[in-house]
Amino acid sequence: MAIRNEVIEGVKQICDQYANEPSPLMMILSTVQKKYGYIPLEVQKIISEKTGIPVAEIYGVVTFYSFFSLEPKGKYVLGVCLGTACYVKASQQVIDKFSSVLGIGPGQTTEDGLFTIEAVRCIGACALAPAMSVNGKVLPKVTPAQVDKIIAEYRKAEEAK
Amino acid sequence: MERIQTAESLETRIASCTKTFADKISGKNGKRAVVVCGGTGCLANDSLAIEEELVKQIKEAGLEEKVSVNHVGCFGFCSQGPFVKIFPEDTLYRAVSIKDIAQIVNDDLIGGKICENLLYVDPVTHEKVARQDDINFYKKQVRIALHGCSLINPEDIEEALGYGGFQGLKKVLTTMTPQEVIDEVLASGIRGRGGGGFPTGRKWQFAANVKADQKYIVCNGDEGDPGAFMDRSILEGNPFQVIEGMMIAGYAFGASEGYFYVRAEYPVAVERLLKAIDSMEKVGLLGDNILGTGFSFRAHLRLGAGAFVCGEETALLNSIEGKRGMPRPRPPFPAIKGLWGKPTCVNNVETLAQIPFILREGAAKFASYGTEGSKGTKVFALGGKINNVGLVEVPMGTTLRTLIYEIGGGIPGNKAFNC
Repeated sequence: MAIRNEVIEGVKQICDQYANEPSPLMMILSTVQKKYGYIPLEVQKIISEKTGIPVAEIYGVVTFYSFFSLEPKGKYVLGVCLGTACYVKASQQVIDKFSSVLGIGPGQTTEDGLFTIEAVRCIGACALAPAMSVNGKVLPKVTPAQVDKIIAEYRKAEEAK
Repeated sequence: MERIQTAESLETRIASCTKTFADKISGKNGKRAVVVCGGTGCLANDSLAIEEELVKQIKEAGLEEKVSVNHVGCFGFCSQGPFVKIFPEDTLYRAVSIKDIAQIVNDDLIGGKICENLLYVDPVTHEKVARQDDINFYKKQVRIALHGCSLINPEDIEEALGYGGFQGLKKVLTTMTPQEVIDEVLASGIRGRGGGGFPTGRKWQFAANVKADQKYIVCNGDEGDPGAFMDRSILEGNPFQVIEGMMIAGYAFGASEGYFYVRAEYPVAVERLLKAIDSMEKVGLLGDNILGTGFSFRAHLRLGAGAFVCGEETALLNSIEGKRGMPRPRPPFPAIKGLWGKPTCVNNVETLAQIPFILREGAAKFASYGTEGSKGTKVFALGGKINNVGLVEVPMGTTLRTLIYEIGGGIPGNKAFNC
């Protein structure tokens, strides 16, 4: 996979940003993930060259943490909380409805690159169960009946751009 | 705000901020104060838009000199949010939406009349309750870790200074030796609030006894247990208090660097913590030679990345070190060999949040709450099938019956409690 030049430069700059921090790898990976949406092997090689950390070690860290992704994620990551408080309020039905409407399973991305469905662990909004998080924004008391509307709103926001 | 470079100037600043804050809450400053809940739960229910609309309508009514508006941290009663509270009357409005703002401005702020339809209704007596302190959910609480949450603006260091902030730190840095601090924490009986329940003073003593060129204090903010949002609310509501607790710990066992490890799922908490650290650095309460005492301390933030196991202290340390979050075998324990091989104490957010109280009010005061084996208070998260879903802080030893029925309002539909 060929990485665009501006991405190569961007990743190098992120490495430089944390050059003076002890053990900066997690910070570098978090920033790269946030900026580019994923951390493929080619990007890991760039990080390895800049930091001196072996690629195998970086790969081990990227694959360990659920927030880091080897594959591109959708523009909107629909994180449905399956923590206990949300689960007892039927959040499994919410994630199932998203899956059936979008035609993808948890961990997968729609072909147009707009949505990724994820089962996330407790986000600490338990009083608003079932809760979900879309790119960090918490949506309260989500029911299967609201799923179509939520998807439609994000599609509409995309078309407006 | 001017830099605070000596203990005397801190004392002066505390005195003036305390007066300003007390006058705000009591109305002695001739104004009314409106606070809007800015915790994650209420933010998810558009409390930011509510705050903006309040500011707008108050301005349109020509009231901006007479009424202040700011957001505060989590009220803990998330199922009833969004909250708008008005001082000095202490009136609490719940489940407020944007369309209610006109009524609040016209009827209450201008007309001086309480908006009855926005008041909390007790699920047992079915009566309306206007004042927050009269609501059963809050009446039985003793808010030590939650001190300041829902009262102060968590992004304003002056409000933190005005409500007990940094008094514990001042006392520690100017009148106590590190060993005296450890002894006071031991005497309080406080045990780790993250669930381990290990006596905090004893953990610090282990680290204090080790000779090393560098030691670390780590705050475990990787609250992963489903249904738990105590640490989130504390960090969102009064991050200054946790930083203060961390600094007191650092002074006690010799750590000059502190690391907050906070889950990435808590962006609001992370943002408030970073702002608090920044404002403390700007006034000189973090950095070199704090208050001219020779004590230097720096606080850093490291984010989690979605791994539940990183809530375990040694996995957490590995994560900070840029590795996979795998637990380490013990011994050696972190207090002997922790972060980057140096003596490290890992303490929970709630534990550190209670430390300033212990040093400010004294160990005996803390120990006056709780039971023989478990001193102090504990924050509990009530969730699932209970009427009052939210966060409460009560003395250790409070019965489950009190928590579930008196504070929690019982089970919806009067169903039986099984286990």
